[in-house]
Amino acid sequence: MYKLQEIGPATYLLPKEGGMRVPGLVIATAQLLDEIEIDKPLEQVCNVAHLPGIVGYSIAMPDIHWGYGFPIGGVAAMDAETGVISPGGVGYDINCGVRLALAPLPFAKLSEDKKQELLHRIFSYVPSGVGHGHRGTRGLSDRDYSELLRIGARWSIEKGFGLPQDLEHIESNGCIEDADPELVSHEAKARGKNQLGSIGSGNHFVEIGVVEKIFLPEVAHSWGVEEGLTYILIHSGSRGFGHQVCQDALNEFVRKGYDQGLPDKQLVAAPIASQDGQNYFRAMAAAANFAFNNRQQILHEVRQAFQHVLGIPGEQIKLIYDVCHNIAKFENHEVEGKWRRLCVHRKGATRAFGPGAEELAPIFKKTGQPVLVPGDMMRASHLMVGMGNKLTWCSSCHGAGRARSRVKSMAAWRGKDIYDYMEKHGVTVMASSGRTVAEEMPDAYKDVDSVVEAVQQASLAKMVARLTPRLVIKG
Amino acid sequence: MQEEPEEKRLFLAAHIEAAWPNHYPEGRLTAEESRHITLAFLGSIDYPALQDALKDFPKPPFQIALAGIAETLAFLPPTHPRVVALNVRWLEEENALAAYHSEIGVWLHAHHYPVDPRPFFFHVTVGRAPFERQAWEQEFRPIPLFISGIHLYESLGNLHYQSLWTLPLIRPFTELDHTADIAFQIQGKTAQQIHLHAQLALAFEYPPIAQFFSANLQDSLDEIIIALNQMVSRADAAIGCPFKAVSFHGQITKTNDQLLSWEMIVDV
Repeated sequence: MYKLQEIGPATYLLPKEGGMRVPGLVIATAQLLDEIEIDKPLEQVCNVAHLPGIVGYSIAMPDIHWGYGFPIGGVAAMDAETGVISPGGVGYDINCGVRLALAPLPFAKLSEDKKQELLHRIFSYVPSGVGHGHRGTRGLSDRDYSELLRIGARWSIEKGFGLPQDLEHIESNGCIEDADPELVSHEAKARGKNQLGSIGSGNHFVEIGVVEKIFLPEVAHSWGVEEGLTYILIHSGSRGFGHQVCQDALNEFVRKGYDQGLPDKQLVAAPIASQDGQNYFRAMAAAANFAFNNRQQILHEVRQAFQHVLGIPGEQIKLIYDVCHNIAKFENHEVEGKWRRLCVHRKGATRAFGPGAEELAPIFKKTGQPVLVPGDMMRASHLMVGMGNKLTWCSSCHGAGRARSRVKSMAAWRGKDIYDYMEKHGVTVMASSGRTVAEEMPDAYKDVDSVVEAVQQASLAKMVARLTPRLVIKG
Repeated sequence: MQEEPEEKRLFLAAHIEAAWPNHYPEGRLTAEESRHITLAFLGSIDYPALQDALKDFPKPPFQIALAGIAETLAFLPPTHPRVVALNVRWLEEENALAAYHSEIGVWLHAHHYPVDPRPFFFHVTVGRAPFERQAWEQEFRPIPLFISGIHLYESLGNLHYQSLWTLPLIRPFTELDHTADIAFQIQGKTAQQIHLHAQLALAFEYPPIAQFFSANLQDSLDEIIIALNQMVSRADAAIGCPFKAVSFHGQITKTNDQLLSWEMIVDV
């Protein structure tokens, strides 16, 4: 049982004990803390606090749940010179992330027939589910890999999968620098060869819905977000390519004994300054760039579907933003009055830069960056704006967070017509696997409204718009 | 007046638990929960007398459920098939079931029950005629399975069976609750068997991965995890795989039964 001390609105301190180098910081409301199984994730928050070079706090977001070494919904910043980098602090699905785009069409104006046609068209254009990549194509060549892994989303745009203006609407302009394709294994390239432009399985999706409510009209207006418009939300990552990059690093780090002295082997971490640490970062950056390309190509296929079904040209489907929520990035942050270069691990957490942040494109420099918070596939998702909260290294939550295991969700929905249930609640679902849908049913997740409420109370990000899903494609 | 003996049509069988497919071609199907490998058919016999004899029924040489893969179909008898059955390739202790079958024969003989002298053909009956052979052959995919216990069944007719007595075996794995991922408690006598049973657990979740099983079983947990991830990687590259990876989680511990146990967490 952990004793949390409330130190601010929706902000709790987890005091240092044992070998913790820093205290823990938990962003949540009292109600959320009551509702979630918190002990195991908090144990992981404490474990992360043992890592060498950690600065500030070991941080938990309100969508926290038990993850691999680090909790999902965890943030940890390490000193770039004396700290460590941990593959478990990024996660297997490197640069898993979300992208939001808007179509210039009120959702209410779509006829039922067109909605169904659009859903089926997207389902046929965007491969989803286990093993469903772009089969029958030649796949990625070594040359493709060496380019796309270095330059990120620009590669897809140059190949015709998108618009040049998309780039400034992607975190880090769709490219993590210093990626080195030579450090990526043959196995990773084999896994990713036919997977670019595909959703995958699990909690990944393409969702079409309606902008239901605007909370911050000025910000929404400046981003072109209007009540009633049709939105497109895409959630996917680096697929098998990224999973293998993570696994290769873990194998190497464990074999070299980098787990010695850590409370959990899954935290295994190499010094950032070491060759092993550098190699992991560069391979991770390559996987992150694969993921940017993946979401870029998925959006391209969705644009094609809108063009073919509704006659809306691709350039009118405007990308609002694309965020990473499984990543380690080098960023400069102020620590006790001095600027320091930190390696910020965000695992199941989103960067949430506030107004004026150097890296942001002019449109977002005025407002702060968009923060995308997908909820479950029925109730809602949220568009927020970052506030640049210093305690969390300008980070926010990444979703609703699971409340119920896959096993329990499957059991709860066994024998019931899940598609009919969703339809009766206004959402049409298409999926490669009924099992995935059962595992991902809305009640498997916390209520995203309560999660974003905590984020807003703690001044991490502000609510801009609430989005309601209507057409959903799952893996 | 003397009471008639309580006779039932009985047989001894190994109960099969498997990752059964969601869909089958046409045929009269045996209920999944009743599927078995018959070890000895006893015919109509006095059940109370048998109950007494069962007290010294031989225990199987395998304490933990025997793992296997149904790799091919058999249509029996070959000349005019009336039964669709599965041929099983055992993944461990290849001859254990045959040896146990012989031991049961000795026990039956000692208790003056009939022993079938014909060579035994181990198979799992899944359906009976009428069926369309070609459809079964086309749709068949290998099925991971294990023997979950030895049962005395009463045949109730029309493919219905009732278990009257059970000799349970320890499960090779049990699925656990895990918030975001999937988890299993894996059991085995040795680290190598832990490795084998971990592969089996993954195949119960995703049967196509069985074709990527490694025969080179490892002796340490780190190497087991690395080998399992190599299997995931091979499967993902070739056919796709729902598993991201198996975590470097936990330790192999000893249970009260002097078995080894490991909590396997699979990132999905």
